Amino acid sequence: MAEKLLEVTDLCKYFELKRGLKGTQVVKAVDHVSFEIAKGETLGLVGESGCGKSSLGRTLLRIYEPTAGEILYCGKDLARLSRRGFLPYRRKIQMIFQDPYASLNPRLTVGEIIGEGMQIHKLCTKAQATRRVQELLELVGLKPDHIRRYPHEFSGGQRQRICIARTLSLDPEFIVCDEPISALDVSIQAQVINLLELIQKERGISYLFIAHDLGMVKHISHRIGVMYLGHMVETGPSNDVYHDPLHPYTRALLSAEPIPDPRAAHLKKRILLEGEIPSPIHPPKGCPFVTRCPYAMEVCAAIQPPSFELENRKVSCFLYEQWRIRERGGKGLASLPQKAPAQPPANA
Amino acid sequence: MSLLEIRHLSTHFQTAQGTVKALRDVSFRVSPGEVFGLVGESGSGKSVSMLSLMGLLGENSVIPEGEILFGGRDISPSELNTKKKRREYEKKMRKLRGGEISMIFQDPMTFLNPVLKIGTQICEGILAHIHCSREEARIRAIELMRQVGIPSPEKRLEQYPFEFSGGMRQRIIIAAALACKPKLIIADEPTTALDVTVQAQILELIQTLTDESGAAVIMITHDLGVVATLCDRIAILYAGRVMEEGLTEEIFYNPKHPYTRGLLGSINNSEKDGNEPLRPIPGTPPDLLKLPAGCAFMPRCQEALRICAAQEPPESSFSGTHRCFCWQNSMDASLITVPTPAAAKRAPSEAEAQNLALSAAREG
Amino acid sequence: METPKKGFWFEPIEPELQNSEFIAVESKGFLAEASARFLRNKRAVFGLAILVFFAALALFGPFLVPYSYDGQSPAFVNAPPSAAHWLGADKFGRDLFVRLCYGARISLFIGFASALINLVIGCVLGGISGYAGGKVDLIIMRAVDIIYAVPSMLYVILIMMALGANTKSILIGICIPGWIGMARQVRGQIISLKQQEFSMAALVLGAGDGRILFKHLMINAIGPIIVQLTFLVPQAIFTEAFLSFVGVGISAPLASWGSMCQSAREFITLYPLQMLWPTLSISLTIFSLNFLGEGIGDALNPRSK
Repeated sequence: MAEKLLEVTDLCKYFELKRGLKGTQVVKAVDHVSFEIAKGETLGLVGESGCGKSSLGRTLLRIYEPTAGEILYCGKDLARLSRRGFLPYRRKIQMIFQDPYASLNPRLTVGEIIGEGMQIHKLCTKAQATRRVQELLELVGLKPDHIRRYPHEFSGGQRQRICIARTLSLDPEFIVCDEPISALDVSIQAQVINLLELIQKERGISYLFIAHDLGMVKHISHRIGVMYLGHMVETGPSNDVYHDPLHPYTRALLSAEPIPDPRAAHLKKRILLEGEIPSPIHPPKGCPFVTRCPYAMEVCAAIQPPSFELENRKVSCFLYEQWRIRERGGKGLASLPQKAPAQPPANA
Repeated sequence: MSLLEIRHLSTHFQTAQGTVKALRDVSFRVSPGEVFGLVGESGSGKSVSMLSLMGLLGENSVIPEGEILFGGRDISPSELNTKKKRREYEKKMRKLRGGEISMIFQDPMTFLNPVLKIGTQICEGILAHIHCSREEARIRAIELMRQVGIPSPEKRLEQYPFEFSGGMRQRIIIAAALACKPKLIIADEPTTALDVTVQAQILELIQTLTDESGAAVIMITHDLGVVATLCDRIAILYAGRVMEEGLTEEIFYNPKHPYTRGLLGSINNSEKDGNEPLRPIPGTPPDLLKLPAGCAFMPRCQEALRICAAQEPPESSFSGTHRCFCWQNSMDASLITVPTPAAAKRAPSEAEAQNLALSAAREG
Repeated sequence: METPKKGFWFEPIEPELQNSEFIAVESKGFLAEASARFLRNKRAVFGLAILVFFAALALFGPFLVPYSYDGQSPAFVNAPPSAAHWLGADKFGRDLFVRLCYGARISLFIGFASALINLVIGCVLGGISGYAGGKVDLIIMRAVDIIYAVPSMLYVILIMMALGANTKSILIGICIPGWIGMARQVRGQIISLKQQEFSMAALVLGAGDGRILFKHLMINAIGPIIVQLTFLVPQAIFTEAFLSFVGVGISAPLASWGSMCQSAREFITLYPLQMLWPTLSISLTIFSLNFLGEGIGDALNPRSK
């Protein structure tokens, strides 16, 4: 594996909710998450809403202060740096946001938006900055004379490209892409994905690509992490995860995705999960997925499964304890009988 | 016979900036019991077409032309030039809405009244269209909720919308939509706001329920995966016009319009092995205030011809079910009504022709 | 359906005819567009014109006539309007026109000066409170609650007792509770804007707190701030007029619109014109300020159309 750029160990982000007389409640948005990203690699992060994938991305960038854990970036723990100490890393780590309508300040021109980072870090003179902004605009497929335009004149896809130009203005090494395509039209999504891939090829940037569209994540990612209720339930190379998902949640998630191919869609067997994601305020004891898991065992309801390593993959599920794998003579799930879910899907 | 027939429907909106031509000359028909997909990106007119059909457009809308037939009855929203006609139309539509035609919306909360109990809301819909007692309506509501997979419906009837999760709310909307045994259900992005695993549940539910009830469904969506899973036939909309229409298989495996091909090239099919590079459509959808002359897709089309910038493409059909609006598919000079630039007739030099085409396109 | 001969129209289109990144809308910047919208609003322009008229009156009016605000001429006691005294004279024979001009000075000065002071205090405290949150927010907001708990008129009267009845003390009295509305408005705006992704984007770029607060958040709250401002001006003008009318404000021989009303009150049945001029001025000013405020609000917030 190539050189490690980012290594996250047991990262936690808890939010405290004040609930009047009931006192404070803790929401564990990110709970002991560990993963690593190599130079020039894309880690795709998938999961449904409320699984903590956006909070994770924001915690990496210290938009949210981490509650516990380590964020090793080139060997330096970012979680422990002061705000001032973190400033040099602001240049190296950037972010692309989900909503291209909300992530551009409507009162500034495109030139001011893209040039702001260079101005803050005092990277160049005004004239140089203007030239660089124009280069960046051309790089993302817009015209240099768009520099004096305002964000609302652009369409969603064009705005997202402006956001990309803004992040590139600082020559970052690592970009967190927080659902950068989910607000865009189908024909525009591919433009943005291709642009991100091109940039990666040219500059060797690493991405953390957060999304809920599994097809696109598979396309852009080298490796994939699957999150559920604040936990990373499975990580592995993207083709492996897609073709042989280990965790029961990953299997269900992949099978639930509608395939844009009518014949394949009719052949596909869907694993329909019962119910919905439990509220993160009252997560189940033990494994977070236990309430909906078709393979749930007694141990799952009692203890949180640790991360088991299998070749180059990691999965947090008791089905992958060594002795269980040996017992069923292989790591696949096909031989296992499915049980009814542990709890009825009521969620009032 | 078709259940719904829309002919040459156009819808415009008057805004401070000018006239937005949201829908231009849209025609299609829906047969009883089929699932018809209306696919398009934002601004393509897919929602506007359904709002025009239901007579739910705002004050600033104008419907200059269009005929709509539902079950043989004329419910055209155009030419409502007298007060009397408008009143009659409104009366007709009020009876149809929630009765023979019902709607499922993207965001269930816009449809559910937050301060009324779920039971009251479903019963109200039933009582408005069917003559029965409150008790009968309640029994029907419980039956419906059981049908859409809501556990212990007797208890849930007494609860308020906020006590339900997103997926459950969407089930309630579906229950309410089914209440009066509609012949046509219009589903406007019913799963867009939901998570993948919940979306799968709802899609499955829509499929089984329509199989059981025999109602036709118009599925408005931008998600080609949803369309492939659910729909029998599809119409692709772009900038307020139908670009291509056909059976789902025809559209996915034999797309005739460059836009359809572009859409299919823009998505990654995770079932396929290997990562084919994506082939996106370049550029940005047109502004409906300033549509280009000719075909609206021309500025982004990689196969555009000179005529595409001058005249809207004619219809070409390939089978009884598959039709498409694109000059590439009907290169028939007799269909051209715009005058050819005079110079082009006497075999102009290349540079000359180019200039002429440029000016023709600018004027056109 | 291929035709053998393609002909001119069926040749591939020239690429320069396909402008796929075409941008139809073109704008000249936020302020330029807002002022264009403002100028299209007839009522607002009318309001502005009236206001400019009164401002001109306040500045240059006294130079047009050879009288001073306290110069008495017994020959003209309670005189009706004439060529010498355009609006007539009061019970001491003082020229009403020149007094009206001085009244405009005081009213407009108090109105705009207090609005300006409130704007600054309100924006700074509201901005800090909303942006910092937590304990800072708690302290500032509790202070606001305490100040708000005392009737605002009481501040003015107390200050006047302490510092004497003059313009300065009225101004201070109005400003002590005056910034509260502004601070609350700004705080609310900043809190909601802070959640927007563009402010996170600025943070990620490495922008400092001051830059985020002023360049990214405050600038987007400018519409509601200006609208709030247009409420403050008439409020202050009213307060001053009321105080002077009940006799605790500007004292004789200085003229304010309120004190002019007060002195005209005695003879209102005999000389109603003396009452008409100051009340008309107050009403017109307030009217035009309201039109102006509405116009600015609409101009800054095009979605309200």
